[in-house]
Amino acid sequence: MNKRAEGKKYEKIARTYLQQRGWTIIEENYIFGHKEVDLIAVKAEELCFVEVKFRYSPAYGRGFEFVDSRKKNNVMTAAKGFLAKRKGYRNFNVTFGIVSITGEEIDFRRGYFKW
Amino acid sequence: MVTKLLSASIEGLDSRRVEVEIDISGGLTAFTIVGLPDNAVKESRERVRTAISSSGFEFPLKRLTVNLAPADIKKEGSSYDLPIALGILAEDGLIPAPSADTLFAGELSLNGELRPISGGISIAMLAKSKEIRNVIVPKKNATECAIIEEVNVYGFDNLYDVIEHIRSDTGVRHKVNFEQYRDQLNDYALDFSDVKGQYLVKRALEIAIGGGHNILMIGPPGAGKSMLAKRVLSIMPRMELDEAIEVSRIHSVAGLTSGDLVSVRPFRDPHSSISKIGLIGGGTFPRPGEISLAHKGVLFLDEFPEFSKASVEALREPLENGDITISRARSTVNFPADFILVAAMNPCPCGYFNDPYHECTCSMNEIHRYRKKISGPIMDRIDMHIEVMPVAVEELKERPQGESSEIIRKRIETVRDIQRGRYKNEKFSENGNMNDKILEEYCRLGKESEKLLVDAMKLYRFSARSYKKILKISRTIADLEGAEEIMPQHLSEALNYRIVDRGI
Repeated sequence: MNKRAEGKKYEKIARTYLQQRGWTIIEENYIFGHKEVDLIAVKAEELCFVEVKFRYSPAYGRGFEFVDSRKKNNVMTAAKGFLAKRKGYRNFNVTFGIVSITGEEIDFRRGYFKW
Repeated sequence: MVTKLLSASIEGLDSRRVEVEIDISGGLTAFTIVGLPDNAVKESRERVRTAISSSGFEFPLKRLTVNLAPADIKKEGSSYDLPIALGILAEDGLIPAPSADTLFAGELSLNGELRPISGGISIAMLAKSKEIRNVIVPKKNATECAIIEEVNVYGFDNLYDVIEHIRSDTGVRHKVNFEQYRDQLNDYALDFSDVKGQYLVKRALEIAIGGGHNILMIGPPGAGKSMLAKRVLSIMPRMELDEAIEVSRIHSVAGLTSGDLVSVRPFRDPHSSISKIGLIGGGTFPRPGEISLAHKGVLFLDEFPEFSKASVEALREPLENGDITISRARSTVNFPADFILVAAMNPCPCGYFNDPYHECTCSMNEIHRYRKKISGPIMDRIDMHIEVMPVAVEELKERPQGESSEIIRKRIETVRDIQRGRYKNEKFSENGNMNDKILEEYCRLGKESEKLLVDAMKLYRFSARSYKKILKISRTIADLEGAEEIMPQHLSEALNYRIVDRGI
């Protein structure tokens, strides 16, 4: 299995995981210029831009710890692009989230990338 | 909608009203604090966020804007944590809006507990002057704040308890009885009876403390200068309520009290390596120095000539005026500094000049250079100079125990009462602080005394300041005896305390 296929597989797992928790996925692999967001999810008044991160084992740290500032900035830029085009979401509370899959373990945290 | 809460900032010793405004809106999530916050205030975001979650609330993932008004004065410190946290919860509709008649201040820890802040008394005084009825502070600060009786003070242990109070008024007004509080704490480990012999020095210290005079002890190493000075605290008169408020306020702003009242007169003994700023006060946000921390108490400078020249010379104005004005680009503040200076020094570099048991190895030149470190103007401002001679070993064993500190303190309290009664219409209450106009009125001399003083003035060429100091010291000596008029024996004892240093 090549890397791209593998990524797809875990994005699918993440997607199911979010849906089970009441989120509606409105975009997958949203691309703005060269910047990409894995998932865009909506629940109540909240619009969440989600990055999916996979690690085989927690031996070297969990998925959360491997989202670096460059990745965060990319997601931020894509998010701003999305908001500029889809004006209907303007008044939503915009958050950024990470679905972290470490081996069998799966976890979703959301909050601010930047204060 | 915007939620507004009252809080306070500290500037010098005074407090200023600060409004904390919180707005929540949709859009890109953010948590911004504006209104010239310094780093401690900016970091409050992390504390507030975690403290809210730890108190069982969900921190809103929305766009939060906090404004600290007025926006043009710098905000420092961590006391805005509490109003910011409450404001966010109220604006998000999780708790009812707190009353506009309440001032909030407190630092949050990550688990939602309230930590003590500095400057509690100043904040309570602000509430009193601006007629804000309630003050909510961390429990540890409640005692100092409650000393301002006109304000309802509530102290809480954690954020959750404050929220309970806002919801259903569960808090209990904190009260403090100063008299009781003070009596609990008057217990000294060091006593004057520990010092054998040295009756003359003890007498001099009694006069100095009794009348608020500055004193310099000169003597060889091991004579007991430091030992005596450290016991001065135990003969200091009790503090009155207004004095305790003043002193506590300074110590609270300096962050030394962790919320307690200072009910014992301060005794400060900084090491000789202290910087000028450390001694006098200062800094970008001016803070009180050792001289202000010794307000209404004693500042003990051991090894006086070892202090830097700049530090010692800077003592001139506070010694004269009882306060210090610190001017910085951003602000000018005034700190009270009405202290009794107790200084100790050796007579020469080797220490044994005039010592009956040792030979001094210094040349006259070296001694002169050593003494020159303390300039004339400073020497002149120190009211009393006294020589401390070592007690011989044989004598140490034989001497009976001296008077206990308690007996001496009783006498000092009596003599202070006499002075307070006499100066009840003046701004000062000790002989040592008497101003020149009043001097003539309260220190009138008889014919005999007058002649004695004139002769001494001619013989020793005293300065005008020395003349006044001699009169003030005589006044205290007369008061200690309960005498109305200054008699020649009072005057001649006072003269003794000015001529010690003239031997070389």
